[in-house]
Amino acid sequence: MKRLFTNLFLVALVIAPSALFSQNCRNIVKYCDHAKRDGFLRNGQSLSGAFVQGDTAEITVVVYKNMEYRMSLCSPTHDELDGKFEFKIVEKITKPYWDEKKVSNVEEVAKLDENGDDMYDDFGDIIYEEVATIKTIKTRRYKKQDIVRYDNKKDEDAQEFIFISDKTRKLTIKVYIPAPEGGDESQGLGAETYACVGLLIEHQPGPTIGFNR
Amino acid sequence: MKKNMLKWNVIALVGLVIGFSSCGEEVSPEGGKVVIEENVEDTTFLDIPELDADMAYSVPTPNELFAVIKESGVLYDGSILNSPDNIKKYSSKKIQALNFGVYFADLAFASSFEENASILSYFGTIKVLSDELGISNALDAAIYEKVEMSLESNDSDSLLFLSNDTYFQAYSYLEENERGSTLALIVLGGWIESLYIMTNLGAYEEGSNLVARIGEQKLTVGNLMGFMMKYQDDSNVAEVMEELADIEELFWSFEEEEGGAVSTSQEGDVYVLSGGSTIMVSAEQYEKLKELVSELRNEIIEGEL
Repeated sequence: MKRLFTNLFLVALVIAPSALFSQNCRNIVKYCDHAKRDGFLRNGQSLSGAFVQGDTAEITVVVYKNMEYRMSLCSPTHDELDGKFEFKIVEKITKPYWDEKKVSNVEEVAKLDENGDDMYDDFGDIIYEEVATIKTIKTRRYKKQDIVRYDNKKDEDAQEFIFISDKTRKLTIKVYIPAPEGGDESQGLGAETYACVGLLIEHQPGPTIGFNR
Repeated sequence: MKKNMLKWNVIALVGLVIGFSSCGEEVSPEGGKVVIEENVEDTTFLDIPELDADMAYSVPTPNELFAVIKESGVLYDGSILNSPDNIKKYSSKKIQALNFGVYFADLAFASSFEENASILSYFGTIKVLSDELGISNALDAAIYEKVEMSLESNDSDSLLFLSNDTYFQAYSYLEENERGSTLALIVLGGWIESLYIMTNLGAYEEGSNLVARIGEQKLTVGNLMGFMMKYQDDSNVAEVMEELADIEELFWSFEEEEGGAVSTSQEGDVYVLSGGSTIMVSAEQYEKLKELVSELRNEIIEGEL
């Protein structure tokens, strides 16, 4: 019995920090710097959560054509992370193509004369012949290819990304939450290894790009 | 089960869907083999994305969508919106949450087009439903007064901000209080109403901005399903996800046409993302979508779901 309690205590010790953090991190994004003064509105696709430091979090959002977006990150619980987030914006580009496949089928059918009637041999039996049907089936398929649209490592570690798009598109934001100074191992499994992170997305109507009808 | 049946239907359709078909028949001597060649073009393939359980999926709000729709040059039509009088039909929490989303989409539509009379009426309806759903604490207590002040001063930017912020506050409150299933129903109700409004703003016109915006909802439906998947253990959420299946499958059948070269450029501080494929919608698909969305939306606003 004592052993069971010990095990339960250990399990709780491992789970509790993440559960506690996960609860406290809800809606943490409201503490991120909001660019209201520039006309941006807070976007409902913003995200808050508890993340293990040293891990990468991924979120998929949909951005509309001709809207201007601003994406930024903050960690109100771990100020030391501010300015150190690494993030990439990746788009899965769809390339449509036709996939060709040949399917053959052989069957025996009654042979017909020029009038369309069955043909018979000298014994009065129907003459059969083999008919092979070869179908070339072209199927519409889509190849997906990941394209990195933005990498803040290549932009002097910028902590915000402002963009417009000529098309409505789905983007995946990959955020690396920096590991604590001295590495994960020194921190054990305590709450220090988790950080509350907010991904703030804002939008406002942008300039019109491309053709309009 | 439904998915398996669909696969078989697709296979059966392969023989029927003939985009272009050229048959070459080679007649052989008596007793020999006859070879018939056929070309079959199958466009019934469904582009179904795989959902990743570790990924967080977000769904754009109706406010954002209608800001884009307004730029399409369409006109406001208040007659297609859900009447605030219908609120008395909504007694269960499930139907209240779905219609909270519906009324929010109506408010977003009215706010985008600065329809003052409707804005006040929909704010009032949302306030009543938020009391019923136990989320009125989340909303700014003075919201109604702020809306009235903005209407009096004709401040459309402020109205848009208030409408957007009300959604954000309700959304955040539900997330904070672990009421994700209610949130999922609100998000779905808002999306269906937005689709209903869009498909009733004009007739099909190939290549028009409105049809393009409707086709692009193919991108959102995947995120919506991914978002709802998190709460599918709740029977109410699971039921509405099932109701959504036909609409979802129709979206997967929308073809994508290869577009211009993919590029990212920079203009000052602003990056510009260009290129990529375009989602196409045929007249038949448009009519089918309109029909399916109307059916589901009417069940929601009549309180029959």
